Amino acid sequence: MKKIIPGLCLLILTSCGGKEKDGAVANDIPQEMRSEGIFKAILRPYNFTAAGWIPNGMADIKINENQIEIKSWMDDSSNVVHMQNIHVGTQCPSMDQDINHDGFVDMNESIKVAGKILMALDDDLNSQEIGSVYPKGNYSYFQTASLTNMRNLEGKVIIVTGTASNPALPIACGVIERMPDIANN
Amino acid sequence: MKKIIALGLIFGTLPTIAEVVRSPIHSLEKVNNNYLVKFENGRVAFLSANHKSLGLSNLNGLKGRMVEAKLARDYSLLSIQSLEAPLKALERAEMVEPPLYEATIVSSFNEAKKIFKRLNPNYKRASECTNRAHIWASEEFKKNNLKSMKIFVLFTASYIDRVRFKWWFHVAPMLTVNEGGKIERRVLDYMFAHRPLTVREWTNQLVFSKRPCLPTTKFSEYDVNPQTEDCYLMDAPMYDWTPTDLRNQEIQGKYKTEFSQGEIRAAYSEAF
Repeated sequence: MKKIIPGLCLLILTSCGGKEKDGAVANDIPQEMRSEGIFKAILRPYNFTAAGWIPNGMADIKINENQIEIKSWMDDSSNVVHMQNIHVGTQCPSMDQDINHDGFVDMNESIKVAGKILMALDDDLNSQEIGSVYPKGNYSYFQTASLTNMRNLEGKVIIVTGTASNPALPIACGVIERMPDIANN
Repeated sequence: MKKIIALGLIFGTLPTIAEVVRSPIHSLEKVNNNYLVKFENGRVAFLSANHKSLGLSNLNGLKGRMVEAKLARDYSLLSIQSLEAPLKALERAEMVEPPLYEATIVSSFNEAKKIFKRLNPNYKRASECTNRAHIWASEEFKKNNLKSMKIFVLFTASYIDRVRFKWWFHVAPMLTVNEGGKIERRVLDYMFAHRPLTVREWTNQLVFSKRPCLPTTKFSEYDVNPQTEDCYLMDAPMYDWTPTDLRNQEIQGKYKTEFSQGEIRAAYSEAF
């Protein structure tokens, strides 16, 4: 079964335009200064009619030197794989990005403002290789990693995808905001 | 692999408990071939009219009482039990004039965005909208002396049945904002929106049919539930917590003129 899930994810990833077409996480982004701290992103819904419900979630991120800890959750009615990725952009997509006017803001339209994928929040934060497993259904996610090239995540956006009819359709997005140190300890 | 799927199918035929709701029952309604059970906390459960062990008379006896209901993944009611003794029915009081409530006029949309951004982000997963809205409103009042409004969207039974919606109402704080000399209402639905929304933008997000919701000042207009509408809208002072407050104003002439500290504590406890 373990072999099947990464295979499915690989299929989803290569068909959605979420990661780069060559299958890699964006690697042409200039390295920015690392930024320690506590961050939060409220994952708010978009593409409402596609979801048939109102997905919502939250991501809490702690960065201390090269250590990163990410906790997130998403409540959604679709028991499907939800890709969650940090993008380099600083703005969540809205219906203004529905360029083809089909009533949905798909991933290709979303990345016009959200930008390329900076970090895949899958089950292997350390590797950032394609083919790892993303969470499914109503999920709780927790990962830690030690990254040598930690980037400043403040202001970047997290996009979550996955509906029953379209696993690649974005369902929620949130901007990563710095929290006061006193919160979330 | 085949064995696993077969086992999954066997288990899949059994109703599994997906969620437990603990709340008083607000009301019961029949829609098509279902009974719709509305809980005070906003959740709904569906019950087939043909269901024998959980019949309407049993459920009617539980109205207004704190219950524990077990729901399947499709929100159908699997079981329900009372957690307290029966309550006395509300007595209708003489009509009284509602006290004057003047909300703060926020100076601009940019100021409204600032207020939105400083709302408390540390709410719990699966918290109730009534409690989040109550804390956001009360914290703004306590810290910044801002008197906001609440806005309730009340979904009709026919709409809930049609889209199999999980909730029968939703509430959020609302600001009155001076936008270039014109007073606009802006909804602060921090959990579901990226910015303050107009009422129409807000309901367009929540109501999949995109039909406008009918504004009303009487809860009974919603409660009698004409099946022709999808939803109703009610404005309220920031002190109002749940639709029970809206109903009590009409039935008992009870209006809140300040925050109840007991409700604030309960809201913090459940939602933050």
